[in-house]
Amino acid sequence: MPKDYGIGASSKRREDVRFLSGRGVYTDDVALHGQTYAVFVRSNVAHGRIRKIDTAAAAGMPGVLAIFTGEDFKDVGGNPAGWLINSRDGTPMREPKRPVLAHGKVRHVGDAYAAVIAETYQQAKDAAQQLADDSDIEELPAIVDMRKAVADASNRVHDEIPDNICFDWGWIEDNRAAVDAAFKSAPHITTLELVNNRLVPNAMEPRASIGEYNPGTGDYKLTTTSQNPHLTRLLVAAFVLGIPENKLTVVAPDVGGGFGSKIYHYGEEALVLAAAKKLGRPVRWTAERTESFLTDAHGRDHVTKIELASTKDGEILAIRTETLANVGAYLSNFSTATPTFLHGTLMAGPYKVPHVYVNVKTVFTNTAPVDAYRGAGRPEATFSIERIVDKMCRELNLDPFEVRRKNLIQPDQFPYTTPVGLVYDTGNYQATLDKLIELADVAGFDKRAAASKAKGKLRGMGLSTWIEACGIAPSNLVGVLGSRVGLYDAATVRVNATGNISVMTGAHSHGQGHETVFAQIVAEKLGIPESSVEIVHGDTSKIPFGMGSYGSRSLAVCGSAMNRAVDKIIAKGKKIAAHMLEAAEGDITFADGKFSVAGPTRPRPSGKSPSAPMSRITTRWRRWSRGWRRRPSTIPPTSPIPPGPISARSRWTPKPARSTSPPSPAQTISAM
Amino acid sequence: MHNFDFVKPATIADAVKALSAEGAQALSGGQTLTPTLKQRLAAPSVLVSLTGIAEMKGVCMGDDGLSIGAATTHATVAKEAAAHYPALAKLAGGIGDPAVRNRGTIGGSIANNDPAACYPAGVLGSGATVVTNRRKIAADDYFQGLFTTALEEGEIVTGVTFPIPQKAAYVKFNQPASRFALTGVFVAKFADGVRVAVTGASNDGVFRWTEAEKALSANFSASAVAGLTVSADGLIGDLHGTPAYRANLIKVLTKRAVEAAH
Repeated sequence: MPKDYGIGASSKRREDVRFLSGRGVYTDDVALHGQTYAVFVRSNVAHGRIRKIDTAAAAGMPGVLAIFTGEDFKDVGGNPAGWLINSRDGTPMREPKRPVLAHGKVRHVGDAYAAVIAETYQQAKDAAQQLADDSDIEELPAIVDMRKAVADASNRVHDEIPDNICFDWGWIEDNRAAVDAAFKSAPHITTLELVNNRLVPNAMEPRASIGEYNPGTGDYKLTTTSQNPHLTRLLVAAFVLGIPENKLTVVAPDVGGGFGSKIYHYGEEALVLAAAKKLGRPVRWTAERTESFLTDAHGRDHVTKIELASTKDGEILAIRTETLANVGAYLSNFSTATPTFLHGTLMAGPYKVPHVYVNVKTVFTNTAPVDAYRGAGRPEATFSIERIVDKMCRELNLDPFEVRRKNLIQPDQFPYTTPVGLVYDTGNYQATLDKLIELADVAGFDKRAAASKAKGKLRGMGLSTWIEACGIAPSNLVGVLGSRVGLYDAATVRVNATGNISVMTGAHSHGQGHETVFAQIVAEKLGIPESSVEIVHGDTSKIPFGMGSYGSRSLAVCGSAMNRAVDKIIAKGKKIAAHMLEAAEGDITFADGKFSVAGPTRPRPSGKSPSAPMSRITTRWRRWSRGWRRRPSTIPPTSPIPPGPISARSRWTPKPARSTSPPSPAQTISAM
Repeated sequence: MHNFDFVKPATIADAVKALSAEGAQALSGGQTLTPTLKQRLAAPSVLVSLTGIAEMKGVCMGDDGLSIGAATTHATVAKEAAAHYPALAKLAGGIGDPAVRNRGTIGGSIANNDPAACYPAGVLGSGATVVTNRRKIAADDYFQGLFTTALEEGEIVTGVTFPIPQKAAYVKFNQPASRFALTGVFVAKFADGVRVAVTGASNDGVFRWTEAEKALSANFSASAVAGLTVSADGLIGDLHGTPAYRANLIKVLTKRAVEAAH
């Protein structure tokens, strides 16, 4: 029987009541008294030098309140990259400044170089058109093709970066010689060149931001389409505008899809805050669909040469790749992690490959920034590996199912340390393959193909395996690997005075259904109805500092934090129950939402054994604390639990898995 | 969108008068014009809505055939023409999606004459008559190329009259995002011959495939067009299909339309 309650139950999503009835509140739905409208002036050339921006005519147009250009932000910080990668020679990656508004040069179509604030959207739009007409931008040759960008040092995306390369990364550099040697002696080598095309994430809700500033308190508020409001606050406060973190609240209300593109901080967010301060009025901006296509961080865009060394009967001996990864015109926040640690570490797939070497050169081009999009680097790895395994099968006339079966890691080899720095803790890939062959009725394929052919149609069959690293963490290892932020998460569980629960999470829901699923966890653990659990997310003034939702991490990391916070609540409840039930704390058990005394107890007139539900615990504790109970003296003066409704917070980062074999030269990463 | 004035006359005469103003533009269902305005690609000073004119609405069977008011929506045609001209009703019911069909009108579609729209194929394939505030125009004279028609300044389509064929069908290969015709073929068999109209394929907009008409007039079966070839010259090439691909589609869809005709 499927469960109809708690963890694993397939409940209807509670958030859908508001979404399907049009009562969601997205950033663009927020209307504020005295609000003004920002429209950005964007480059229509891929590469150009800004000669002059004449703001006079636009500034005099009806309703125009302010005009900003790159000049206004030249002295504030840039939007930083969140992950430091060192090149093979040990030098750190090149990090050009990513300004709020382009200054000196425009570097991709859509690069904003000015913004107009006006009383109405139409007025701002009209003035932005005027400003575009009054701007003199000298078009420069566009750098689009990565190979040409690397080959021709005379044309540069950033004048200070001589070869358009951000970094040249080897993974794992110490293994390179052994991999090359394996190729030299290999009976068969398969080579494949691949393009993994760029794509536009295109969330249903376009990016939108509203900046507010209260001159009376000095407080800023940013309402924005973010997958991680605390991260956005940190970036705006610490790196870009220098607003004290305690004076900035970031709210990501209902968000209509992200797919990665709303992880990152964008210049528009900084602009509306700066403009709100200048005007003392709210400043809002919502991307048009065209702006979304041009300026949301794009995904993928790899050009790869992959080689596979094997025996004549298909045993994989080594894999070697050379990839050019496009980072676009500027480094988006996680753009340097995506083609490296989210990509190179997966390049062994689910196979027992003794030797793997991955080389990735990231290249600046006059295109929109590229960053993590759905799967982020890992699908690119799978695509490369599986395409070349198939090609090898064709070259050697081998059965692709049997070649995979032969190369998959055996069930008794776990935990398995790959040559690219991961430990796979557990698995039975052969059993999965067997089940697949059964479910897909592989044996009956020839018959189906013949039947299709008789009808003049073609039928094919493809096979792909993959392994995915999810739940991006743990903090200590990502730190070692270059992350400039820890990848933990946090949850606060508060038992309200009447016994229901509020849970504040660092994870952010933008379509995932957290409000339903997180409530299931807490409800099942506490033995209370899901309707008694409220999930609060997306507002830095309410939630604990967590790193947000991306990389399939919400449940694995934030869900674990929540689990631990509930454990703390139960532990506190036991202390209270011990006093209420007049038993030793060690004798209190908690099950099915009730605290009970374990073992033989003094018989009660009712004949029932003494117990107390969670709601009564908190209700009594509240009353005790306010002296309402008849015997307030039973509150132990030395109780470690302060009076009042109980709450608990937990922060969690996964632990690295243990390897039974000697660690690889690099740090092992597990449970990413 | 730029600012404009909006008028909604109740009679054809008032609409014609309103359209004589400087910078006036007729607006019917707005399925093309409204997005164009939103993109700031058009800036009319006055929009004259034609959707409030009762005499331009409705589906009516008469001696000349089936008359449809220009401001009749696709959804209405899909429902009310079904008993009289099922192939045309099916064409109307396959345009866009429900939102498009409940706003878009037959007059708006043929006045715009998008090269991938469905109605031009139905009107030309049926040999229908386009009625305006000034005259009646035969379909063969009306469609004059990409977004170009015989309409003159100040002239508005008020209705279309369709003769009812013995058999007809419209088959289109959907552009899946818009459900415009990547290529669409309307085939109609009359007592005096067969008409075949093709949309979505040519750089010059809707056109008649006269070789197929001749072959099908002699033998109304899919095999009649098997030996014909369509030249790719002048056909549309874009990321959805090459001219050669569309040339092949014309033939395939014509065969399917003949088979589907009833």
